[in-house]
Amino acid sequence: MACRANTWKQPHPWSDDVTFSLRSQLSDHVRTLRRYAMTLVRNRDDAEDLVQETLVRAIAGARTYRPEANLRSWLFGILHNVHVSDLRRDQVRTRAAASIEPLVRSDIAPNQPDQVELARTMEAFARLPEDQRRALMLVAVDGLSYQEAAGILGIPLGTLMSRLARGREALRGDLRGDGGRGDGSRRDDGRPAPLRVVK
Amino acid sequence: MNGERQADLHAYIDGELDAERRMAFEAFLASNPAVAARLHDYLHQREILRHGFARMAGDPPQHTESLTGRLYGRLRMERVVRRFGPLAAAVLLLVGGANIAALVHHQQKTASYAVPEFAEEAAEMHATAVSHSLAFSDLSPADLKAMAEGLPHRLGAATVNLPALEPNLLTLVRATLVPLSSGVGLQFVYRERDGEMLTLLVVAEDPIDDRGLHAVEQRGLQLVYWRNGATAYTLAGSRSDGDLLVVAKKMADSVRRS
Repeated sequence: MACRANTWKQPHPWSDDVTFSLRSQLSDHVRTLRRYAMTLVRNRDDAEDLVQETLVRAIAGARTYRPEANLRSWLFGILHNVHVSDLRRDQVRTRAAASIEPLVRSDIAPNQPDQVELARTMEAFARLPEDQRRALMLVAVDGLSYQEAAGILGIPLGTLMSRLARGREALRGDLRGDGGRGDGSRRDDGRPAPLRVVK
Repeated sequence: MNGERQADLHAYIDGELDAERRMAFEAFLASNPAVAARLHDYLHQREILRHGFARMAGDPPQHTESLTGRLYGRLRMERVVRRFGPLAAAVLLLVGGANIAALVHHQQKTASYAVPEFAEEAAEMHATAVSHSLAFSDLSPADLKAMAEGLPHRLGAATVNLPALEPNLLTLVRATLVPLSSGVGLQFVYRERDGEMLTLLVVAEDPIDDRGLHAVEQRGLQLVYWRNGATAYTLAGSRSDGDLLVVAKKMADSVRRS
């Protein structure tokens, strides 16, 4: 695959641009971390705890951050470490089990057709395997490049692309009711068949 | 659709194709409505996910915002240290610290009944130190004492007096220069004889004629703050700590006597 040319120029670490944009970059990254944390723990309170602990550790370890390095990747690295240590705590794992669905239902009242679709998509997303959720969240939701997402997840580019493809197709299949087989069954006009209620 | 086309489909959605490959893929799409429909599905799926997560995440809670602000302050300070070098940064803090503190710290010109920002920060620091076990230091008591004695120079105020306490009353377990949402402060963490942890935050302020000892509750913690010239002190502890006010009074008296 021919990937996009990397024409984005990394600003000099001490440039005024960097100094003045650090605060907004950080806010953007924390928003990304919060969304990503939700895909990991599937519970908003635990996600918030995860992000807050990540920030506390980042504050404590700020000396280890090199300005020329990617700030977002550094924060994600800390978040992953915190998450891995959290996974050893049984209570977090127990609370996280399939708890995104009640969260979705409480946040998105399915009283309109588009709300139904939204709620069902989020629930279907929550049912994806974690590796596919992570890939989709970083690339599709947060718009990271393949290279950065693969770096954050610590996987080869090809693995990332494979997870993306499988995740998208599984999500599409789940919503269409064919269990993610992606058999291409569509209406004659090429548009997706009407969504069916997933119990 | 073969594997290469499928890879191109996802790379097209994610903006990973270069111009030449993108044009070639668009030509392929034009003659393959089934693939175009699948592309439409994936794009629609992406929009729904973005919308859904934006709604679910909502605005960050105050504590997350506050931690983000502190991280920003910490990274900014590290930048200064890296830019000018540790020695130059130390000189900067020693010689120009007063100006830095004056520039970056929110000034409070008059005493107010509202809880000052420095006291709020002390509450947050104490909660963080206790809940994340950040309070403990590997330094020996002698090193901590030496560090505690050296730290006031970093604050930039003309004179910063630290409380001299009876050794059997409190044990110093951490002394450090800390970033605040704007500016820097000195954080000292003590352990009382009964095991209770206390955090003392010392910051530089414009002098205010306020000789009172103010006790407030913030974030479920007990805070006592006072001022001495151009320095403000906040002692933070748990709400159940019955002698916090007594300890704060001893500290304030010690500072004012020195």
